[in-house]
Amino acid sequence: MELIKAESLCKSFGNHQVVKNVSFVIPQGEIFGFLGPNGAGKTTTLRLLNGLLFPDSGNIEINGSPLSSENISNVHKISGVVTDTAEFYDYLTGYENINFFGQLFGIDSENLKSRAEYLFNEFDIFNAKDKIVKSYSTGMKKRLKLMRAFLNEPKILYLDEPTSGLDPEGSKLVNEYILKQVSKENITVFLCTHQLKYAQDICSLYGFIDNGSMIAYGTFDELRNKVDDSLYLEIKGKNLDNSGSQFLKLKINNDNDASEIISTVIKNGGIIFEAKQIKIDLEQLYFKIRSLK
Amino acid sequence: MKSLIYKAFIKKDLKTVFGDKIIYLPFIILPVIFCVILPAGFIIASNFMSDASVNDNFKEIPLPEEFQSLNLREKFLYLSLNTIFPSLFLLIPIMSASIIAGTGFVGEKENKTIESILYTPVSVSEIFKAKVLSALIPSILFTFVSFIIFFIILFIGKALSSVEIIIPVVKWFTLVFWLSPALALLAVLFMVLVSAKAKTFQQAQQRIVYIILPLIIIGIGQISGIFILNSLVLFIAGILIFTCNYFLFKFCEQSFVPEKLIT
Repeated sequence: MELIKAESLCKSFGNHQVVKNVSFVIPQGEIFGFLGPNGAGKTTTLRLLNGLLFPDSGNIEINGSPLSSENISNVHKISGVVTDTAEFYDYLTGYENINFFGQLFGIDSENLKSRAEYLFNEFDIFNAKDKIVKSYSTGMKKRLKLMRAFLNEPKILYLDEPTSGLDPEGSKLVNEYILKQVSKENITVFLCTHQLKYAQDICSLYGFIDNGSMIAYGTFDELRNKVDDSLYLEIKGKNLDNSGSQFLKLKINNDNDASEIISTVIKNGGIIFEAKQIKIDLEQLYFKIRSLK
Repeated sequence: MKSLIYKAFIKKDLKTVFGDKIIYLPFIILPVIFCVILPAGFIIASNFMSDASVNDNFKEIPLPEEFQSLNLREKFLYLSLNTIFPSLFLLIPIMSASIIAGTGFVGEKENKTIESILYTPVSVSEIFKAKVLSALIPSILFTFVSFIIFFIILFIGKALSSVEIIIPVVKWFTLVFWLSPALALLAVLFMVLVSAKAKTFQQAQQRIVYIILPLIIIGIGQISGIFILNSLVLFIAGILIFTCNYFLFKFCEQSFVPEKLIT
């Protein structure tokens, strides 16, 4: 089932066109990485999908229904959003904040209490739940935002840079939780980020946006096939070539090429610690596609 | 469901206001000055002054006929408490409503919390109504409590003072239960209007002077004896302000759209 469908979206603020003819489809259960530099139009698209802004032209379908001012409430009921532009009340405690937003989602008090306690534990901030949010670190606030996004057990999760400000431990915890929810509850994720390594770890579908236009869209393999399906051999070691290199990265066509290169290196007195075949990674793919446009 | 949402907003907005000393201090200071210190001061002063020391201006202020027989000290107390004081008292609903509405509307924008609310299933129109109510209800209740404190001071004064204290109950009730809510709503809606342009809570708060200024002029008018407001005038003023509020409410509701709030 197609959970999010955007068709020819355009949005301008004054004379500045922020989103230009953007189209994509995200099937249920996919993690869609919406990648682009700052100011590319990612947050505006996120706001369009949530009905906070209306497109100048184009259509949006969420969960099979066209998005209109009449059904925004229904869309919000099945959505969870994490973005740096949606903050908490500094002078309320973490629990009071969660309780307030839970009430706005219409969650009854008993369920809200147990759900909040469960999520405070899951995101490892239970001990801070009665402290005011002003005293939270950036990482704790981010965890609280993710917690709020999961409060209403959403079908769609919109994440705008969800791991920025988190330490490695926090990032791992958050990613594991998101992946667990995707596999267990089959939720769909719309992830805006410019951290390409992170996106490659977690996403199953990609859209590259630059200056308001979608410059590429598809799975990793589809995108790679468009620009470069080469294989590379990466070797780490000592004296790998005449200049005594410790690292080599060479384009190859098949396994035989790899075997030949390794044999040559050893024959010439090189010492190999590690050798692996790699395909182009997301970062390389991203910059290659951008350079083509 | 709606009432639960309104309740959640009121509770949250009050906690936000009372979480920040800079915001809530005027809340406490105003009623203490206006409802305790000033009236008690007037009563005490009237007991220790001689008729000769009463300012000439007070002698010339035209009083209703039934009070013409009062001696000068009684006139001083009557005029202080019932003509000068009401315009000061009206600062309480205006200031409290504008402080809560200021944090509620401008503060939400300033602290980027408005977008968090807009992602919930509550409709924009409900958010607007909830926020108006969350500023209005506490400020009206706060005004009523301040009035009760003021009346307690008056009754204590009545029991202890040697100078007769006359309390025009109808006038005070019209002022507190009719004109104050009208002005509180006006202050809330005014803050909504201002919040569209103001970037910080302080900027918005400074503009409330446009509502306070006419009150100060009325207050000066009362002291100088140019005009004395009676219950009927207060009642009509209330009707006019409520009518103005109706149109202002419609206008503000229409301008309260996410695009303007988050960009």
